[in-house]
Amino acid sequence: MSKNPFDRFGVDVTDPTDWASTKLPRLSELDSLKRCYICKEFFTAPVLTVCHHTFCSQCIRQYLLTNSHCPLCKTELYESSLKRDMLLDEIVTCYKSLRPFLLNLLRENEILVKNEPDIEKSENGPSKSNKRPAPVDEDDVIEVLSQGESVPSGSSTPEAQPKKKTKPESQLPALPGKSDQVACPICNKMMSADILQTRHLDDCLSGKTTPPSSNGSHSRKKAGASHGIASFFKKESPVPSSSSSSPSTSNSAFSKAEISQPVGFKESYLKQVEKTNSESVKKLPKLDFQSLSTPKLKEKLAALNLKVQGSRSQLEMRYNQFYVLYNSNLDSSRPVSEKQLKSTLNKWEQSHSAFNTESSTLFSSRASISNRSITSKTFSVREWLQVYHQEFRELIRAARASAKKDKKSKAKNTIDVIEEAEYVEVSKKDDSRPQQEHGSTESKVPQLTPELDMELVDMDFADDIANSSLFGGT
Amino acid sequence: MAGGRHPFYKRLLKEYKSLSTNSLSGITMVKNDENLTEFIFRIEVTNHTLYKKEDLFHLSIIITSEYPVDSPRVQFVIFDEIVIDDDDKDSKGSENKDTVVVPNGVPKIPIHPHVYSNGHICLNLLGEDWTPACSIESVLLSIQSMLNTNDKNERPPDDAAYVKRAPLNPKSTTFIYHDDTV
Repeated sequence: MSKNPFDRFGVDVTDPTDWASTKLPRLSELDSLKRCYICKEFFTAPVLTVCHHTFCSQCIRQYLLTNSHCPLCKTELYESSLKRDMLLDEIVTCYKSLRPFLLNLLRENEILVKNEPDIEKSENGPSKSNKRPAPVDEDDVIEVLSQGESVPSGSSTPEAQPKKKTKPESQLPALPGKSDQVACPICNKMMSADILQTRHLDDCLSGKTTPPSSNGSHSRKKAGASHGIASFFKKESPVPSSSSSSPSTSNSAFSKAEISQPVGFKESYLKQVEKTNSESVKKLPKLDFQSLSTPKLKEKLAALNLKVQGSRSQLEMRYNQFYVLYNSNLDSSRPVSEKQLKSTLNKWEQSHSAFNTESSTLFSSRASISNRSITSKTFSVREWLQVYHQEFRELIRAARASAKKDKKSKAKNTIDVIEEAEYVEVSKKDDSRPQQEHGSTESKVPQLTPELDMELVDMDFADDIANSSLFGGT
Repeated sequence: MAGGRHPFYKRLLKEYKSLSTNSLSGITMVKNDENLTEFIFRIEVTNHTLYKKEDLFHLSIIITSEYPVDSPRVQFVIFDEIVIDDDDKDSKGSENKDTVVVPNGVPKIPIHPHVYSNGHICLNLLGEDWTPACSIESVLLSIQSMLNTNDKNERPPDDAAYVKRAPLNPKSTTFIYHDDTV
């Protein structure tokens, strides 16, 4: 009965459980070890804590804005003690780039075993969707395939049949080899790794049997254009992987793999060491907001070319978020430009509720506001007034009626002492506001607390309510 | 609401995915919104002396914008389950109609020495002991086990006083953890 958000957004969700349906389910352990406990994603710029736990730099820095202990073991922890883990960064990036292929490979075999005929479906992400019933599972792998050309089919090549029984592990050593003869994981033919990776794989997967010795120039071009499996192995100039740090959802696992260089993680690691040794970029300082006036804070933001609009708390949050983004970017071996950081910041502001007073969609608007606490910072007084406007009116009417009645009965009984005292007090309080302003009805019933009355007449009392003692929590 | 997506939407998607695929026994997701920030779960306690079969316990979980740094807002609610998804005409919808059984029973706030009669739950996991390493699933499991292991037919000692003055949001209450025995 719950809606399925995966259909709607097509967000690429990778999960350790992706491995459960492959030939090597234990890979899920390896997969989950490379994930941050906070965001459940692969580590982005991992940092090590003093208690030897690892988190994404951004995640843990964000957490440490409001807390000062490790999320896993509660050891006392400060931001200054976080240490970059460059090796892990490279390992994860490398693994991320290999993962879709590996996943594909290990599932491919399974499909061959089951020998499912799915040629008619092969155009948009073939047999995976058939095999796994839950629509929820249509994640990155499907995207990978849908970008490639029509991929496997159980009935593809007769050579494929004997391969079925082979353990996938035995094929893995074939991947890194560059000069030796290796066996194609699909048809088991021996050929040089170069040929295998640049074109044979695509051909083999699409059912064509290309002799490994044939002239490659034509098929190479074709493989490139179609973004087949072979494009995983293509050397490309290193592009800073902006995708990893931004929460945007546009990139599939495939494109991530494409932009990161297939070889050179080792070189990148070694270069990082040199780079950090000669590092001159300073981290942003943490600001002590209490000793900072709003104009000063705006100055600081302006110095960083950040927006200076918004309330004080929004300014503080903006600075803190940028501070987290900026400093965690410095921990990354593939840092992004400041411009990108700012667009990330903008996206964050858009999605953050303090910048965005939209009410929730699940419950009706009325229920949603009554669900929120009146003392919470984000509580919208105006909204509250709108929702309960009618009710307030009724209450006032009732109060006036009962007040009138009260007055009459009291007058009859001639117990005016207390009432008079009240009246005096009230009018004292109301000195600054002449009675006429209240209109004719009000002047008849001075027993009502004048403040309340005023507010109800001209609906302009949002600030009064917010400041009154009733809402002391704000 | 396109702009209103949670900063940790991906993590929420993952949690949603695992909740909807590997169902936990006795816990059913009754409702969720499209941004995956508000959930209602039904918790069933079977073979228990205190809780009867027709008691329906609904747990509302609201993900704050600081999640997972901040704990979700969790409380028991009285919720009427009505199937209204008639407009959901795709195959999935019809499939669901066959499988989703709305149980007959009375929605209730479970009686428990740590559950106030307004549905607020006094549980360390939801307050100071929350860490980002916890998840919706861990919250559900600990509340289910909290109910399962209970053998006291009573409300917290300060129930009446608390309920009278309690804020709407249980997260703004600072709970004093009375006892660790239950």
